[in-house]
Amino acid sequence: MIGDRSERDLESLLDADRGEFGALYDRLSRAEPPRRLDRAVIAEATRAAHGSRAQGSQRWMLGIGSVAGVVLAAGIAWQVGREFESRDSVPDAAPVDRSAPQVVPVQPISPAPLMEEAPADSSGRDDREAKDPALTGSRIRSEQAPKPARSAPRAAAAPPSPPPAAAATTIEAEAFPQAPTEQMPTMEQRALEMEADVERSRKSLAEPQADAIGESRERPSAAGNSAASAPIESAPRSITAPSPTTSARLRRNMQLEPQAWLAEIDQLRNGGRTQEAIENLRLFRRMHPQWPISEALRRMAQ
Amino acid sequence: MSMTPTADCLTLTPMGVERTDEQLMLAYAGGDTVAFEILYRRHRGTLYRFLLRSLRQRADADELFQETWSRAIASRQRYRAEAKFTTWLLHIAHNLVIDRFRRTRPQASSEEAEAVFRELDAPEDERPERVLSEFEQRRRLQLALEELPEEQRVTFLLRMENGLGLEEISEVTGAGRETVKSRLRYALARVRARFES
Repeated sequence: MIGDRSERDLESLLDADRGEFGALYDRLSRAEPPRRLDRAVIAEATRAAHGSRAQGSQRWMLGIGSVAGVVLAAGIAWQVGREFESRDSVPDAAPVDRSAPQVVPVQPISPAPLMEEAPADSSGRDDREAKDPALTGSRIRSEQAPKPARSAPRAAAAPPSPPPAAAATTIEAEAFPQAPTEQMPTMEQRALEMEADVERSRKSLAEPQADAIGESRERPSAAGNSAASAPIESAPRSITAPSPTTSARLRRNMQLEPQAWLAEIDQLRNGGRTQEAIENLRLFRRMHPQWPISEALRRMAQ
Repeated sequence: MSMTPTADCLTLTPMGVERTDEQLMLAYAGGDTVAFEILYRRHRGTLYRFLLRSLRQRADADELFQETWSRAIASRQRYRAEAKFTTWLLHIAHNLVIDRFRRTRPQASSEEAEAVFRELDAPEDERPERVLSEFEQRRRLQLALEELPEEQRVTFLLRMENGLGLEEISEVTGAGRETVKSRLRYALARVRARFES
């Protein structure tokens, strides 16, 4: 009996109206959650949804950031590369043949007394440097040597170098400092050999002047006068080590056509760079003994 | 409860059909917070009353109400439309309720239930007259619910408050179908006993 009744109650409870207690249950107080709970739950749901959205955008931003970083690095690398290129292509009054061995400073092989004459040529050299900024390297090195005991009488006679050009050479010298001698690689040896001929010709040019040098030691003023009157007689300065830039230019000229080389020699001579012109001419005559040269050049060579 | 003004419009699908709980939940999992508001409005009352009548303490009900929704929010990405949303939500709530029961007091013994049935065994004419006022009826039902053993109360509430069938109650509580039927029978007997006492 109990079983039947409970079974009936269960069936009525599982009906749509939930039996005899269904209607009564619906009349119980309809408790609602407090508003603070509503706000808290909605806020949490919104926060969670926005948080997941933010995480998505953060992933997106990470990708963008990585790409931006790569682009920035590439831009910097490109800019640095351009800077190096522009440095390499700075206009040089005497462009160096880069296929040839690098500039080689040649140690002086002349006797010590002759070295003392080098300062006497400093003003003339300044003149050359003003015209040819590439010579600045040799000036820097020569300034590292002990200062001469006496000043050259020719210094007063030398024309003043144009300030802008001098400034330009200074800037250039700072931008392209010459490599120290001790850092020269073995290539230097080869370059020295190549310069041997030039040195020999220089020596031969200097020997006839030896007496004049001896005189100039005894009578500085007289030497100064003679130097001022005859530029060719400033041979002692040729005995000093040739500047690396000059050597490089000489090597470059060796590769020129004979006609062009002679024109270059003429240009050097007319530009007052007599010593360099003589060196070029001597070498020219060794390389092209049959090539006819003008009387003026022949005289200069002698 | 105040809702976003557009919430009512968004209850409908583009075809004009009201969106189901499952569609709303999936929409919320995709970031649609308005869908969640609609869903919340639909189920906040029944869930809260289920918790309140199960736990009998408003503070506990408040706490577990919020906790239930928090877990639903946190699990939104794992929700699959195959599961009925109501069942899924009540499953979360039920687990929380059971945990709370286990922490507070031991289960009612089956002997108590047997005693109720013995009372019901008395002839109908020997039982008190059931001419009770409306207020008294509601009060007695309230008391009867509070006095039910926890498992029976929860099962009874899932049927009365949430309208779940045997299968759904079985799914929510994790109990077998026959167990659910048995709990409902015992719960009904106790409630009737309260009315007839």
